[in-house]
Amino acid sequence: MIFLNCKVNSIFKKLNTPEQSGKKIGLFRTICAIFGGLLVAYLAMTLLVFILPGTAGESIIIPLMFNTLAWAIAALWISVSSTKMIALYKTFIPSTIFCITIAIFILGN
Amino acid sequence: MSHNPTKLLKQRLQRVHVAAGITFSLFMYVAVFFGIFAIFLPYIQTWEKPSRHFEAADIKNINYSAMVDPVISDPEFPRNNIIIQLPGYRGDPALKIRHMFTQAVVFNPNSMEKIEDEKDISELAWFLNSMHYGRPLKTFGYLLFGFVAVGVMFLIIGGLIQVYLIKYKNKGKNQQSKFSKWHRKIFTWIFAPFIIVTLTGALMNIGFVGSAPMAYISSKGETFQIGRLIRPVLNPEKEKIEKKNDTVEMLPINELIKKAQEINPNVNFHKIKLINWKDSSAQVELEGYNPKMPFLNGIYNDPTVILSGVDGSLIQNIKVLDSHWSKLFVDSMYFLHLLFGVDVFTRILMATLMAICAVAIGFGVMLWLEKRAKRFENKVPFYHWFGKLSLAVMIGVIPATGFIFLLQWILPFDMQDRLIWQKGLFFVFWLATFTWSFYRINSYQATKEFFFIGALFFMLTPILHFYNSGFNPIELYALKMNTILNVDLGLFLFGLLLMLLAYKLPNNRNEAKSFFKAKV
Repeated sequence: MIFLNCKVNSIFKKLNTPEQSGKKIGLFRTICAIFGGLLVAYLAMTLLVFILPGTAGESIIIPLMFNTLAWAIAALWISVSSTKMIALYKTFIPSTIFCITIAIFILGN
Repeated sequence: MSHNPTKLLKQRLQRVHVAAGITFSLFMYVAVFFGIFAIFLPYIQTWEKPSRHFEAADIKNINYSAMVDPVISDPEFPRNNIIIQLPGYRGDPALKIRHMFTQAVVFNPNSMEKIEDEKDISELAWFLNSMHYGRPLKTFGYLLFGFVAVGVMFLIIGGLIQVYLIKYKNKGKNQQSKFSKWHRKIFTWIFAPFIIVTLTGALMNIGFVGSAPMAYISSKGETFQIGRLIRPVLNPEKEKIEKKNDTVEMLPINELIKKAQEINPNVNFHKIKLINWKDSSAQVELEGYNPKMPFLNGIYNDPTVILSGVDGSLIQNIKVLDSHWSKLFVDSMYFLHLLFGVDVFTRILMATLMAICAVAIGFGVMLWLEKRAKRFENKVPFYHWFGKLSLAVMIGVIPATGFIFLLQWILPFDMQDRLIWQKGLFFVFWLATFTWSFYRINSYQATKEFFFIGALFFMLTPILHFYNSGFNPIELYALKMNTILNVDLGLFLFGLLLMLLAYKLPNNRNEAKSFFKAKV
């Protein structure tokens, strides 16, 4: 148990350490940016469908249009994170929030 | 020092910009390059077809009834949902009568004679348009170009943030700083139309395909199909009109057009739909484009006048601003990309902006290559696979496109598999430029050669067109075939421009330095 704890801790430490240089982006950030960015943007836009007034058909038009732009922005935002941990946070925290809000919207109505 | 977060942020911004830029630049260049030809699609479409070489008719004085009425009063012709495309619809000078279940009937509105449409024998303009969005590669191509569009938006936004955060000085005197300066300058000037066009492009290629989960969640599990959600909003189905099952005399089409024009004089009508024709419940929907309200109509939103076919009485007059706000919004976004119904000046303006964007993409790639070339300065000639690839893709595409234009009027129209030969030779030629760029050690020389061959092809095309179509420029002018003559003229001028570039561009690296006014 302690051993596992140590390992987890060392991974956390690694993820939390800011790199010396920003000249290398690395696979970790790239994957977080591409897939995490898609997740965040897609969920945000799906949430926007519920927030905008009108029927589903009316309110889906703007999110549909800006979906790809949102993806690009989210990917950029994640890819410039100062540590790998922050890149992970930026992926999962907004996604979770959006998921929960969408669930509330669906269950609430 | 190294833990300075702003510095790290700037470094990362630059790094992701370079990585994404080099990944997407060539694809984006291809999309922009063929997009410029797609802007002129209506004109090229007229130019490429022998069947469209006829004297232009005066739109105001065409006797539509003489052509349309005999066709639709034929008892064999279907009676419901007949579509008539008036001359000028999407740039086509011919008049077309279409129905789902019959072959289209095409007329020369001037002589009122039926003409033989080339259909899939001649598809040059359509092919250039499909190269613009990756259609030759089917689904893979759509997805690829869609992802490229997302990448380009990533680049535009990242680039703008860089220009804002990093204080660039435009004072550098070497080639690298010149390329950097122009890459930045051009895109800070014209990123706005570029990003809107890219956004709608991404929507068309991957937005709709990828919308299934969103449609499913927002319809609360009702449907995966986005179409089922948005069609009732953007393209609401009209109520079916009950037939009375009798046969009555209809008003001639001319009268109906005249009536519609009186009701809404701002609209250029280009499409007519006949519903329950010859029945006493007959309705005529006249659709058009209102040029006084650009950005608000033309794509989904078409101002329409609905008349009764029996006496021409007004049933409904749908103006541009009567539409649902989402329709107006979608049209305003799509407008710059699709340019339906837009006049030639807007098209030329848009094409020029996009050509400048293509050059700016080129400067970006050259900046990247220049950084690598500098390492080998005065040691060995610079020979990099990406440089050669970009040379073939970005410059090699120009003679290849010139070649496909030339082939349009060299290959006989009754040749078997004409289109396959034409497209095939185009791709073979493009590949040939690829091998040639690797063969020539000096890329500057290869560039000049490509421009020179491209210039020859583009300048020869009008001459071959005059010879093989049987119309010389004077005849084209006298017969008012302005569209066709202007395409010839445009191709020739483009060829001249390429010729100028072929002579003016530097021969080698040393000359390039003085060409870009960089310090040697």
